[in-house]
Amino acid sequence: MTRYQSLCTHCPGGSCFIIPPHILENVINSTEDPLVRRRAVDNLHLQGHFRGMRAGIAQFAFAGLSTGTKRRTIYNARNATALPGTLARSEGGKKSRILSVNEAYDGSGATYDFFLNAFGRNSIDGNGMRLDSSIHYGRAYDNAFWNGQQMVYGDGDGKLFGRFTQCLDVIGHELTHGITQYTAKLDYQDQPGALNESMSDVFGSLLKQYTLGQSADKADWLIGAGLLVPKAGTLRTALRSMKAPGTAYNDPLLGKDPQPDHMKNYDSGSYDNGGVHINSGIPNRAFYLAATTIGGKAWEVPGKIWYEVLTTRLRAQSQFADAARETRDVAKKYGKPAATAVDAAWKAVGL
Amino acid sequence: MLAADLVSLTLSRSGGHLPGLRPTWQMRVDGLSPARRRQLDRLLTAVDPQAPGLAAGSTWPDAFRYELTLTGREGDPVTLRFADQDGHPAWLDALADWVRRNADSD
Repeated sequence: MTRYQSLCTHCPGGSCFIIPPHILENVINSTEDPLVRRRAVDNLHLQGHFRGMRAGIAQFAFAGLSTGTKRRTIYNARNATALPGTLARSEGGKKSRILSVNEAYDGSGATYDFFLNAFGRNSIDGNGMRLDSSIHYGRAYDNAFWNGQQMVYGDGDGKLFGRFTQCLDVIGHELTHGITQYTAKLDYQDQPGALNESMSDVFGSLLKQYTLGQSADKADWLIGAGLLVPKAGTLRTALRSMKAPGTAYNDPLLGKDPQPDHMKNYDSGSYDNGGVHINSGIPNRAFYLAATTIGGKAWEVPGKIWYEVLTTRLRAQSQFADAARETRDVAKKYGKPAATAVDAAWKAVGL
Repeated sequence: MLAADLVSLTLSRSGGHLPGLRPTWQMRVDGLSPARRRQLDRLLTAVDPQAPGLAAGSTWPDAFRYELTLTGREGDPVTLRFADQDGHPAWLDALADWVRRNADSD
C-alpha cells in the first residue's frame, strides 16, 4: 500500500496510510469542520497528484456545497476505452474547442437544472453527486451509456450515427438511468428493464421539452432525433417515437423499429435483455397519451406523477402492471382530469 | 497463441439503443498481409481466455455486449464474452477493435 509522509499531522511519526478516495469524499460532503474538510480536500489533491490525475481531482473543491450547485466534469477518453480519460472541462471552466465537450457539459447541466427545478432533485443521487462524462470514447463508437458512475459518449461512425452528445434527450435518457439506479433500481431485464428504459425516455423527452419551453401538444416525442445520419431512400428519423412506437426508423442496415404500442404486440423474445428497448414502447405511449390528454407542460403534472412513482413506488422487479397501478394512484393527487387521463392512457395500451 | 495457429476471428456485437442492429465482423487469417499478421501476433500474445473479468454477467444500461470467437487450426473454437466497462481486461478491447477495423462486416 502506498505510504505518504507528512500528510497526516496527528498520526505517530507524521505518516499514515492514504485514506481511500470515497471515504475522503464522504468526509468532505458530511463534515461541518472546515479544517477537516480542508485536510480531506488536500489529501484528495495529493492522491490525484500521485496518480497523475491532479487536475481531475480539482472538482472535489466543490464538494459539500448546497442544493442547486452543479458539479460537472468532462473528460476526453481520446478514442481509448479507459475511463475517465484526461480532464477537458470542469465546473465553471472556460468553453472547450471540442464541440462534444461543451455539449456534454451543457447537457449534463441542463439535466441537473431540470431535475432540480421540476422535481426538487439534487443531482443523480439526490445528494449533489458530481456529473462526470467522458467524450471521444473508443473509435467511431456508436453508442452512449451510463456505467454506474458516469456518462460515456461515443463519436459515432459518421455513417449510421453522429456524435451522441448532440441530442439533449439522449443525455437526459442516460443520466436518468443513474437516477433509476439510485431509486427504483429496476432490473435491466424483461418488463422491469423495459420500465427502466421507458423512464429514461420519459425524462429524456421531458428534459428536451423543458429546455425548449414546449407544451405536450408541440413536442415531437422523439428520442434521439437527428442522431441517425440521414440516407436517401431510408427512414432514419430517431431512435424511438413515444407518440408512435415502431415508426422511428426503417432501414436496410438498422432494420425496422420493432417497438410495439400495445400489450397485444408485446415481444417475448430473449434478445435485448428480454426486449428492454422494444417493449418500452408500451409504457412510452401510455405516458405520451396521458401527457397530451392532460395538456400543458408535460413535466408539470404527468412528469411529477411518473417521477414520484419512479423514486418512491417502483422496485427492482416491478412490472408494467405495477407502474400502471401506481401512476393511477398518484394521479389522484392531481385531480379527477389527471386521474382519468392516466387511467385511459394505460387502458389504451392494454394495461 | 500466434496468428499462424488461427483460421479465423469473428466479432459480434449486440446491445446499444437499437436492438435489431447486431453487426458481425469476420476475418480469415490466411488472407492477412505480413504486416497485419505481425499486428495480430502482437495482440494475440496478451490473450488469456482464463483471465479474470471475462464473461461478466451484468451489463450497464445501453452498453454493448461482444462475443469474440477465435477459431484455431486445432481444437474447439474459443469464444470470449464481454461488455463495455464490465471490468474485462484491456487486451480484449484492443483485439476486438483491431478485428472491427480490419475485417469484413455483415
